[in-house]
Amino acid sequence: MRFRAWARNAGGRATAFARWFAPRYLDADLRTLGLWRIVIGLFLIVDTLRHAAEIRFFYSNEGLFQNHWHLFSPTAEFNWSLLTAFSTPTGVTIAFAAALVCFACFTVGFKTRAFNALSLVWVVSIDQRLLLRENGGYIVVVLLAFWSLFLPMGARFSVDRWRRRGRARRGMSPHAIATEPRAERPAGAGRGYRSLAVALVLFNFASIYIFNVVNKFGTTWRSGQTVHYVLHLDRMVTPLAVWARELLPYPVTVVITWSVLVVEALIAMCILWPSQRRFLRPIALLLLVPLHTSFGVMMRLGPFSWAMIAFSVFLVAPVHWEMLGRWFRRRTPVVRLGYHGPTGTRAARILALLDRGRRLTIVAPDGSSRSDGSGLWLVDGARRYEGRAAWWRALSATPSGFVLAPMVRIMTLGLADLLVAVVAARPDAWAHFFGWRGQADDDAPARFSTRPTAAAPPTGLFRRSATFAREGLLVVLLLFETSQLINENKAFPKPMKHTQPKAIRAVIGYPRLFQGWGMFAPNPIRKDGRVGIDAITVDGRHIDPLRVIGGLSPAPDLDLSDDRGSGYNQIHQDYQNRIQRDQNRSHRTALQRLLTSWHERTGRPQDEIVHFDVYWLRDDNPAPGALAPKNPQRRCLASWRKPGVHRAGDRPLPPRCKVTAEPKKDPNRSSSDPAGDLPPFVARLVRWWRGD
Amino acid sequence: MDTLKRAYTRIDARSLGLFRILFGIALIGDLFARWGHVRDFYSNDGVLPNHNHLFILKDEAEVWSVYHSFSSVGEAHAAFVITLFLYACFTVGWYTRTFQAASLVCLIGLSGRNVLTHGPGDSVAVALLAISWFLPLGLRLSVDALRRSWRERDEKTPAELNERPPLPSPRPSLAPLLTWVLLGVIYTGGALAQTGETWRSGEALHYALHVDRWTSALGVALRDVAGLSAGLTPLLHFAPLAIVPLALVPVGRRWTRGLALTLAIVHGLVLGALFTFGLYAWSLLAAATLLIPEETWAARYGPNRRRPRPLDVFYDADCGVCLASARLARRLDWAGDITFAAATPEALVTHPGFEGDEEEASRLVETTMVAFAGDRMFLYEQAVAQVGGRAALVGPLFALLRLPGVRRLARSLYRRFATRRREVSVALGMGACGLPAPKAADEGRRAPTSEAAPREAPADRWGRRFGALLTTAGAAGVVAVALAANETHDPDTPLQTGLSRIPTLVSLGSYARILGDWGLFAPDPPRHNAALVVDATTQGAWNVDPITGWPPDLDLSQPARARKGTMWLRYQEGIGDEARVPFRKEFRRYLTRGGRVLDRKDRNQALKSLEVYWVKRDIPAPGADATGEVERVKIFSQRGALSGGRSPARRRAPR
Repeated sequence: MRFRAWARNAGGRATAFARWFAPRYLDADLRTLGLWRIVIGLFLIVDTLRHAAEIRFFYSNEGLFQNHWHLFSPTAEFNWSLLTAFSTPTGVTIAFAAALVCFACFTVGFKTRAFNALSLVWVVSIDQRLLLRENGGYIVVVLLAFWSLFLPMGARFSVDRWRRRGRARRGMSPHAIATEPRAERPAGAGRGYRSLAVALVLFNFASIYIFNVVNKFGTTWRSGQTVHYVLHLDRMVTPLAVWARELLPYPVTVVITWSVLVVEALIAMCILWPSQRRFLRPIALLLLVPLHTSFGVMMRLGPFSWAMIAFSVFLVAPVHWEMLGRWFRRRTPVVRLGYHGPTGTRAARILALLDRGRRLTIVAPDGSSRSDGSGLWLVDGARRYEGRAAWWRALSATPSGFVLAPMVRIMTLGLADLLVAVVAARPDAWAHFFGWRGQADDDAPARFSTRPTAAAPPTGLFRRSATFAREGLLVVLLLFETSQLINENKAFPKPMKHTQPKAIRAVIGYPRLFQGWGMFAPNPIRKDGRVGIDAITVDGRHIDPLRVIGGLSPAPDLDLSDDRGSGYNQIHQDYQNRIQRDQNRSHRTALQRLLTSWHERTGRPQDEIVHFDVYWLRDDNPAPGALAPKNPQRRCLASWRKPGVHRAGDRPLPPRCKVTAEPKKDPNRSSSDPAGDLPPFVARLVRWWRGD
Repeated sequence: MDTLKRAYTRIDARSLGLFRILFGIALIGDLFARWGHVRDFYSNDGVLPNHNHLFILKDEAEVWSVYHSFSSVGEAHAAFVITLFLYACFTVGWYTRTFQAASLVCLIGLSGRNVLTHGPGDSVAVALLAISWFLPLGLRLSVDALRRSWRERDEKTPAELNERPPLPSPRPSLAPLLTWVLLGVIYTGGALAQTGETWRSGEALHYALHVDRWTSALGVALRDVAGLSAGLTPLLHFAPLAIVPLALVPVGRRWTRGLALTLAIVHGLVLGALFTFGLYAWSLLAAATLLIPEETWAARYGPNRRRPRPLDVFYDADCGVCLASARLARRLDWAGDITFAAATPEALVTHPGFEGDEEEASRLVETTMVAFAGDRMFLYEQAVAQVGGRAALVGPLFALLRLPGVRRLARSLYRRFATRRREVSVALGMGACGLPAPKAADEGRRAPTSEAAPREAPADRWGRRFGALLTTAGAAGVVAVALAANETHDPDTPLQTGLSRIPTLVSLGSYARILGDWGLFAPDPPRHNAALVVDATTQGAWNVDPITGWPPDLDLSQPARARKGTMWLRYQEGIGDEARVPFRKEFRRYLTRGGRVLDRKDRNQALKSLEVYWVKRDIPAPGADATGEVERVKIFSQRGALSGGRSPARRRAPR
């Protein structure tokens, strides 16, 4: 009896908790998901174009990382990329074009689910093809594409949705569409979506900030020196950061360092706080967008900052859409739209379908008020619009048109305006050409799309089963990702770390669903470095082909002391940072091959390299308050001379440098011990926690 | 003019649908055959790791395979599962064009993953799959067609079910004519390459059947039957020359096409049954269905055929599943034999075939569908058998419901369903008895007949013309690639077009694995039987061939041991070629890891030494008993300590 009572009590509490939890963490607004899809899609397109610029030297066999070598010597345990099937620059370009098509279809919401899955395949493939330049930003991109797979991304603002609505109202007149009563919207066809996937997205997003705060427990962060050191990482900084480091006094950088920690902590709190989301989520957006924008414009971190901003769109809550709707309705007066003729009917139908804000009062044609022949006329207060002006004005009165019309006009450089003018000038000719017929039946009953959309509660057995399977899969993924989070983040104590079965590692590793979050944690890098090549051509010139590939001047620059930013983009600088490590020594072969066949790449015999030395150039960042770097060093990574050649031009070739291994880390690690400055007891506790 | 147009610009949509299904089945069969060798040929534990293949090919570089992306055995299995899904979708006609393109990519990839395993079947299948992309394969007999019809005609009443609107037919284009041309290139190009003495003397099949590595078990059993070679050699040689000309005759098509179809089927069946050339015979057999003309279909399902007794079906119009079944049955009843009616006691008692009273009618209406064929009444599963029996193509399968055991089981299942049919309908979201059914988004869309434009709009007309132009251009491109490949492969072919001098066409052929090697046993079949034999000795003193698991057959005395499957057939021919020496390094490594059957973890099965031979033996002339001398050409050998690769073989020996 007691057990029963206990069980009943526990069940009641669980239900109460579920009732409290679900609306806060499991619900997503479909409009938010639609907007999120568009932002993610645009981001993927831009990011892929960034990679496409490097096809020849980083993704094809003419460059630094041939596919056969990649497959022979994989850089990760679970390494799979569709791009490894492509060898030539042309082939890789075709593959990138296919990826862009998938991203574009995903962006506009055409066959959304299928293209979401294909987008994930391409995102993973592009990432896995060149892991030497991967950083946390790439993982965020994968996570964006991955989690969106479990959400109804095409339920709003999509071609799919548009087609569904249009099909459901086929045969209805514009007037009938505009006046269909919304109260008859079937139950369940709401604007919300409930799934564990929503919570996973929120928690994953918040965990990035949480662990970026708690993992930063190092001395440098606590003493406020991080921003100073980071701004002096020449391989990563942009000219704006160089300008800032020379301008900002050291105490200001200290304040900024601590501010970063506070802001990141606040963002995590605002994301997860269960109430007052109406205010807290915009605050989170207001904090994170400037934070990541400043990262993005000052550091060459690749996709990280922009992916996080794309991620943040998920925070837009239903209340914000309602506020936006109210603002739109206040701003846009109700206008009367009339139409006649087949072309006018078509246009009015489109406008009626777009008119989600009910700003158009569509007047059924009665023959009494014909326009000038353009098919549409519009009355806004006392002013009457006809011709193409009526078309644009009516479009601007719809929420979608309000956003899209100016963009379309600008992006098409006025061609859209011309097209509308041409259509409006001879509507009957267009109607004849396309076979459009007269007005639709005004008496057609209002027919609503009652197909259970992703938002609707599942009806059929199959749909219920699919929902159950999806949520089950999400539970499994939650467990796997939690395991990964514990293993990867230094904030979790050593006893919690565990060995994962191979199946879990494969599920995480193939799509790169990693969860280690700690940018510049526990301490930032204090040593700067880049690769420098001194190559001598057959006619005696000194060149650095890596600088040529990176779009810089060809003259070798082996002196870091005067660097004001290396000038290399993220792909180049991360590649250089990884290739210098001994564990990636095998990948230097491709670099050597590229150098020895450089003249074949340029197509000029005089560019043939007869001697080269490849160095890893490094120095220590300046101490707090100083500007000049210290302790410059040079380590030879590779050296070669063409057999039998001793002179280039009129000068003898220098001796080859001696390739040396990466210096071993200081066993005392006094300077890098994040707990070094703490009281002994606390330091011991921290070291125990970290398992040191 | 109309006759010519009908003959050269159209292929019946049902023939196209049947071709798609049979070709899809052939592809799936081929995939399963390859799946048996997934470790050996599609993973890095096999004879050629992906990195090594790409490295060897880097200079040629006109081979592309998506399967190069997959390294481990697990990854290769995953790739094959995806491929099976794509093939299955193409076969059933779901998003037909999309999945056909995906299937084409997969087929090219399967062939290109290891250039040594490419065979004539791959060239034929890729060419046919490529050109048929320009034909509307999903117009009939497909999920697409069913969905389209389901969407466009949402029948609710028996009267609507009994309407027979016209079915869609393919739009005319030159793609069908170009398909005949391609088939002509394949058939004729292959036959014209057979210029040797044995083809003239009728001995070609005798020699071909005595090559153990490619002869099927049936071929081995039949090869010594007197007169077989003399009878079938001319057929194999001349039938391909006759098929396409017969198909192109524009008049009397039912007979000329019928003859062409018979020749194509016999030709395909002989090759498919007697040899193991993979997709070659089965692709051509599937393509034979394209020869079925509209007239033949009309004779089988048209109004002038000999009609069976019409069927009157009374079904529960309130049950969602019953209505859906009736709609499906109507779509499968091509001949229009079935008339549907709502099952009410009043309607039932008025049917002349019903002999009971109204009470009996009420009981039947509640418990079963009722079908009348003339004056015979069928209930329960027998009614289902009658309705299913009228279904086109699959109708005969419903005869199984008349078998005693099956009948009992089917009746039990039917009764269980019938008593719960409304609950099932609701559970499946189909609605029943006035309960709201979740309707399709486009429900209420008017039937196309009521919305059909009286005249074709100029935009539609131009769109159709442009579409036909693109289709024709695409199909012409495939034919041009095939002609160029044919010429490249056989420079002396009478089908000289000069297209092989266009590098782009040759490159396209190479990338698409259309290599023009469709001439089987050309110019002559080999006069000697040959096979690759590995003579290996393990630490446990076991003398074994690591590929077959049997003792090495160094005398070629056991045909079954030489027959290792289509993949090995092509590979062993390639690896023996001196031009392919770079491929041998990984083959050696594969063998030292235990090959197909040895478990390297077992110390006794670790290899001590191995020798790889290309063993040849002359084939005796027809009627002669004497067997020729055995010649062994050593390809390579390995003695002493063997260094294996990264991963050991995981299979155990079969014995």
